[in-house]
Amino acid sequence: MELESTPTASDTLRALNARIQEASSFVDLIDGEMQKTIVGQKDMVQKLLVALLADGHIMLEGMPGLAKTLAIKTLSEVVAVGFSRIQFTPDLLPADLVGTMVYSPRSEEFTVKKGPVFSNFILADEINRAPAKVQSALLEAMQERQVTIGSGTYKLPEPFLVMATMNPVEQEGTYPLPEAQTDRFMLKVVLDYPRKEEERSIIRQNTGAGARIPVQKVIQPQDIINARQLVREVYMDEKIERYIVDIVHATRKPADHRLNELTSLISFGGSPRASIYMALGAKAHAFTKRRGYVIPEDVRAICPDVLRHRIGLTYEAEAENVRVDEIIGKVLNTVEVP
Amino acid sequence: MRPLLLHLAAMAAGLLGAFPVPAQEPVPVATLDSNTILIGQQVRLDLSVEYRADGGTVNIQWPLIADTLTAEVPVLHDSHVDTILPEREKDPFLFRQVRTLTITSWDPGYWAIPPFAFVINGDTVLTGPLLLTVNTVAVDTTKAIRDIKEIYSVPFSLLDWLREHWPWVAGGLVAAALLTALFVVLYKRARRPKPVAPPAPPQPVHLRTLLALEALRQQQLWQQGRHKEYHSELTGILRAYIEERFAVPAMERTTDELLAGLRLSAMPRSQQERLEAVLRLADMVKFAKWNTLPAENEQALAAAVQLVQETADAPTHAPLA
Repeated sequence: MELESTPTASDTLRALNARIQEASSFVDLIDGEMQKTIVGQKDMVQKLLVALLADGHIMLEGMPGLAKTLAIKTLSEVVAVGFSRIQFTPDLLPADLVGTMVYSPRSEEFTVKKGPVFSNFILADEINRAPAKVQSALLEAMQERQVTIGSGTYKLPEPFLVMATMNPVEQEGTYPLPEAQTDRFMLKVVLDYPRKEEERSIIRQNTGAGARIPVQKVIQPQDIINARQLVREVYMDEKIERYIVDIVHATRKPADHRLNELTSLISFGGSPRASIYMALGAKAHAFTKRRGYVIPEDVRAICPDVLRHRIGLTYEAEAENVRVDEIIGKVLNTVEVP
Repeated sequence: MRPLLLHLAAMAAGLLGAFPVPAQEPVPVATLDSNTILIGQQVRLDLSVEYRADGGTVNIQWPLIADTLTAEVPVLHDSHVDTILPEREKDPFLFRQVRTLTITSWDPGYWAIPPFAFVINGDTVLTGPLLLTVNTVAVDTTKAIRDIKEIYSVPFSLLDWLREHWPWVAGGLVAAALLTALFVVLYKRARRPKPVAPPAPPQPVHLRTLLALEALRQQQLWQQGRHKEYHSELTGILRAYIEERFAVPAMERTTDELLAGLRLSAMPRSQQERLEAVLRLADMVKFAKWNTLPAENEQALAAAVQLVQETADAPTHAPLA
């Protein structure tokens, strides 16, 4: 087997593949360190890495006690970056998040006190418990990567990753995020309970006499920034691009893809941002698999998490208890793989 | 003497009775059923000639009668000449030729109808002249002159209408009956199941697949540098074969998913490995700009052909454990 005869194409892809093989070695190291503290939840860890490498943000939905906080805290320790945990409550103010101007009597002037958002990894815990203006402040920071306090504008540190959590129970007194704001999260991962064997390991790990195994810093922030650049260089064939577009288009016009039964269940489909994030996520997934090119498996691995919060269900679907994941499954089982 | 005279007289009388008496000459007669009419009223004029036919042929020429008898007496209807036997039982040789004219007059007055000239056996014989008195309606001149009456509107009568238009109605009914019959015949003919040729038995899937692979080989795609197209076609043919042959959805699955799905199928393990090699190579070509060697291209096609040939007779599903 040999690369394509065109010198430019073959050399570029060969070199890219080699660089990615070398640069993505830290993925295994991160994975190994994460597994020291996180038992199971491999999918969550995988998607955390994908979001980190694709420069996106991630939303987690799961019951309390599923290691959401521990996961991102451990990731911040492994990557050696700053970490802030913000518990969203109904009385939280935007200034509590982004910071404010504080008057100093000694110098008789106002000084800027930056908020917890000025950190590399942010855990926005139960984001739906804060009012809309606080949510909006965080989402603006996520989008703009900078915060304005008083008359000054301050850039947020790089890498910057927000992991927001939402509790599927106790919905009273919450402020559900509108679709336009959830669309800014690259992925929405739904967590499930660990399996029996995993839960036994969790018990042993947390009730044993030994101290918690410390995780090691295996990568520097600059390595993440470099890796993000490489992720964007991962080769994506036009067949894969068409496949992504077909999937997203099928959520908008199911009848065009022999999915007539979904027409009455979907009120709106994925936005173009869904296509962008699916392509970017597929590239990041290929990177974590140490490949310099995207294959359909990468798209299918990332697709449900990209589309889950971007497909609107109709009242009819809700009345019939149809879940978004079922719709995504039907779409993936119908759209032809290249 | 006296008896002799009587006897002679009797004989004379007998002789007179034995010889036929010459028949009376035919005399034409013209009569009006009424000599007096109101203006515009119709009257019948009967013309007749009676004659016997046992005495030889009687030649009767009738007068020519035009539209009018005189300037004031028009002829409305002419029955033309008819020959009848007025006393068929008593005298079968007595004939009568009759002709009836319907006449009227729109001019009040006394109008003479001239005699009609008949030519009977060459002699011209005239009928008697007739006088027709035409009276007008008495007008009360003391009253004002009134306008003519409005046109009467005759109430519609279906019977009258049918009497007038029955040919059209009958023709329409006949045409409708013919059209209905034609429609029924055509409808029955259309409904009659047409003899359909029995469908040709479907070609076995492995034969169709082998033909498709042979067609792919003849296209010589990779020889033209179209490696990606070649491997896309090759894997497409194989996926279609697997989907139909082993009832495993293949077109909507990735390579990993397809291979995982085939683990529970009846496909032998060796063939699964062969398929995996072909699919993995194709994935590299399709998604990683990989360019294969000629031997690899030929080997991929040969592996596909071998896979189809060796799984053609295998059971569709895996045996139950």
